Amino acid sequence: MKRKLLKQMLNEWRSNIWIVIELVIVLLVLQIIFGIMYSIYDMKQPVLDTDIDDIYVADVNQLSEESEGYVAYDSTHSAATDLDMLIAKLRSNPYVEKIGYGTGNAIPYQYNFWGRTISLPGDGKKSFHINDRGMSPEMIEVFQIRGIKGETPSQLADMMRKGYILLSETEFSYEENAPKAAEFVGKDVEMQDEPPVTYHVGAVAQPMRRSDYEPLYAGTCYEPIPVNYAKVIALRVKPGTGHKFIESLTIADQQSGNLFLTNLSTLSDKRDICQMDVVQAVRSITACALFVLVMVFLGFLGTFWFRTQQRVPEIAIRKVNGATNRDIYLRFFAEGMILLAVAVVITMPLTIWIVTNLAEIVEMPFDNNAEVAAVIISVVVLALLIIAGIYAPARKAAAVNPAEALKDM
Amino acid sequence: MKQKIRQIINDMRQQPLVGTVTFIATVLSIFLFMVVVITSRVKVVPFSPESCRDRLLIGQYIHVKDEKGNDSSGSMSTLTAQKLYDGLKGVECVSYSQYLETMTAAGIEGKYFNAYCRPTDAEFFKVFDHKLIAGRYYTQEEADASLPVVVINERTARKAFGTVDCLGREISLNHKKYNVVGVVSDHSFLATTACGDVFIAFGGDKEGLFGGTTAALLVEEGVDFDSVRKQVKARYAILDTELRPEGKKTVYHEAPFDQATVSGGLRGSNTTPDTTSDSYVRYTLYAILLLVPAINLSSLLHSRMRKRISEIGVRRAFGCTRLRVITDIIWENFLITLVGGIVGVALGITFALTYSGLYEDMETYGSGITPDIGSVINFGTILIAVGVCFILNLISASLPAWQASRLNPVEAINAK
Repeated sequence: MKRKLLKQMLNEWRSNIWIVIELVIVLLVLQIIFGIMYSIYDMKQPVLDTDIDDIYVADVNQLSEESEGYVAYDSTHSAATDLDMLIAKLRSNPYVEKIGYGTGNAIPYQYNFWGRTISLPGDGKKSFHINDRGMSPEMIEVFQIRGIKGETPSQLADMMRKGYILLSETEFSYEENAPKAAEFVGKDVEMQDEPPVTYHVGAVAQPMRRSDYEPLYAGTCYEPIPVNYAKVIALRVKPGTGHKFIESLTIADQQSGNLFLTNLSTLSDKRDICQMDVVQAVRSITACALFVLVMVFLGFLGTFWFRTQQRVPEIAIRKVNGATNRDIYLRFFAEGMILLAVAVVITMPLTIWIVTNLAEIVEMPFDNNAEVAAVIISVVVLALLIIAGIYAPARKAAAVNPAEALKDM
Repeated sequence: MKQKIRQIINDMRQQPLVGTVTFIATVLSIFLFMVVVITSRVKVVPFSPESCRDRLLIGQYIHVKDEKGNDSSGSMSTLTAQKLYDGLKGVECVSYSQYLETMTAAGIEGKYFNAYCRPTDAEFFKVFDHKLIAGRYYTQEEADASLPVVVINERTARKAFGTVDCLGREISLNHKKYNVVGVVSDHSFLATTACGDVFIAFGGDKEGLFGGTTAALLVEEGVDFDSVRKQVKARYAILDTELRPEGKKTVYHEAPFDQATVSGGLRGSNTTPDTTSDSYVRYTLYAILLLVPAINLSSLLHSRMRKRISEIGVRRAFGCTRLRVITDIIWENFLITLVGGIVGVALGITFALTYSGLYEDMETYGSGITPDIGSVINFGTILIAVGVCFILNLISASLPAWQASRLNPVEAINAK
């Protein structure tokens, strides 16, 4: 049967060659698309290990001197006292659980990066590259950052209240000769500045990456800052609060003295905006993948439908000679699978090239498994699509009444 | 022609499923191709307020290295921008504006809403052709003094005051009051350098190297962009001499950039935009979007032709030339592609005009951004649509038509 099927396929080479060419191109396109998608989802890791729908963030702004309502600062009134008042006001809201403040770089889901270096005094060789996230100790509790030795957020916050900094490891810390944050714990370190500032490292904490899709190039440094450095506030509401918090806020709640809040939103909204480019990229390549798959489906449906019409007498003779409906189905599906197999063999050299160069082609950090997974997923998805495309024609073929069909010959 | 149409309809009737599949595949291919083309074209074709895109150059960032090799890069201060871009030969006008910033706005009754605000100088309205519907633009003197005057768009005027008749009224932006001196018509936020709800008179940040300034250069007609870049490169050299005492040196990244480069994304302040690889990706995508359906349609047409072998044989026997067979098949197929193309283009344009998700980015998220209708439906789009139909038809129909023309008339007539 197999030999006869192959011969029959060879007889229809003109039509089959188009299908194979289409499958070759589609296979290559799908391998790249699935490789990218696999890597994106493999890389995805939430920045914070907590429910970010319960976290609100806002920018802290200051009235200009020309603004109505501006009150000049003096010895008893400063930006710091205004912020204290503003935080106290928000803290008194019944839905608020924790509230803190930080520099513009204190919150995730924005692409600021304050790159600095810390090193042990006198030992210039042992240095560690960090993204400095200046914040009040309460922010650790807002974001529920934990220590890698099991320290709770409140224990870490207490360390920051003593003026200690917290460090995280990086993606590269696990490489043999790479500097490790753990080596600095319990020691006084110099932070790059003019002149350098000395800090005591309290603990190694969970990192805070910039987005769910970005590797941790540098260690996170949680540095305690004075209130007058505050550019943002972040607060955690009680679980299950939903929109009640934002609905309970008045404009007056968001103002104090010369300070006022803008862009108040949940951290999940901020994440959606920040990661929009990734979402759009995924959306675009998904549309492209769907398009080529629909094309393959339509191609097989149309071509095999036509073939069924052409082969009615042949199918009838097969049925007369004892072929079951299952045999007819299998013959059609086998034809589709052989075409796919031919396409897989033809694409093999290019597949190997893609597998070894995909990371460079799409300029993305790739997991080693991504390329192999992409090839397997592409073949499986195409096989399923081919079966779906052939199903209706095969069903029609199986329904041929031999007596009727042969009568018309 | 009538006969051709009749033949197509008859062919469709005889093979309804294959005909429908062919039609759907054509519609889908042209729909997706047009969406991709329109999405990238709206970023570069000129439309108000960026009718000057063909003559526009943008300078945005500055990148410096210190003696230890440490990099600092980011947006320029107005002071830096002026050092690099003021008084260049062949440049008609330069405007310095700031990034679009979301501010809390309020008009009457203290109703608060978010508005996209852009602090600019007065030259901004010479470079970009906003349509003034009431009042005036602020003057350079007002901008230099950063006086509290603004020009707002219709949408903001209605939100703040319930009417566009709001000249002389006060609008609060981040709790500071500004006087409305002009109202411009609403415009698409795809005009990324010129768009905004509110334009604030601003004299610029006149200290330091870094800031938040974008320089928009309107180049004179016929002046080569490279000649402007050469002058800017020389200005970088002058800036280097100023930075030398601090041990710093600039890194030049081929600024200022044309609209095509800006629309592809500048990819950060410390890199040179790579337009070549962007073009490769774009053309590969176009090729895939054309080639896959073309092969598919070719395979389907090949199947349809097998039904018409006898008819082709008879025509050949009665003296029809091979060339005539080829042109007839290609012409018939072109009509089907054209009908499918018209449906596909209509769907593509509707989708491109209504689905804001195609265009929104971090800056304009939630603004419901859609393109200006003129930037979507224009001569270029129609030309591309017809061209795509023609190419799709040519790739898909050529080989089946050639094969059909090579048939032996005797064998073809006997074929079942």
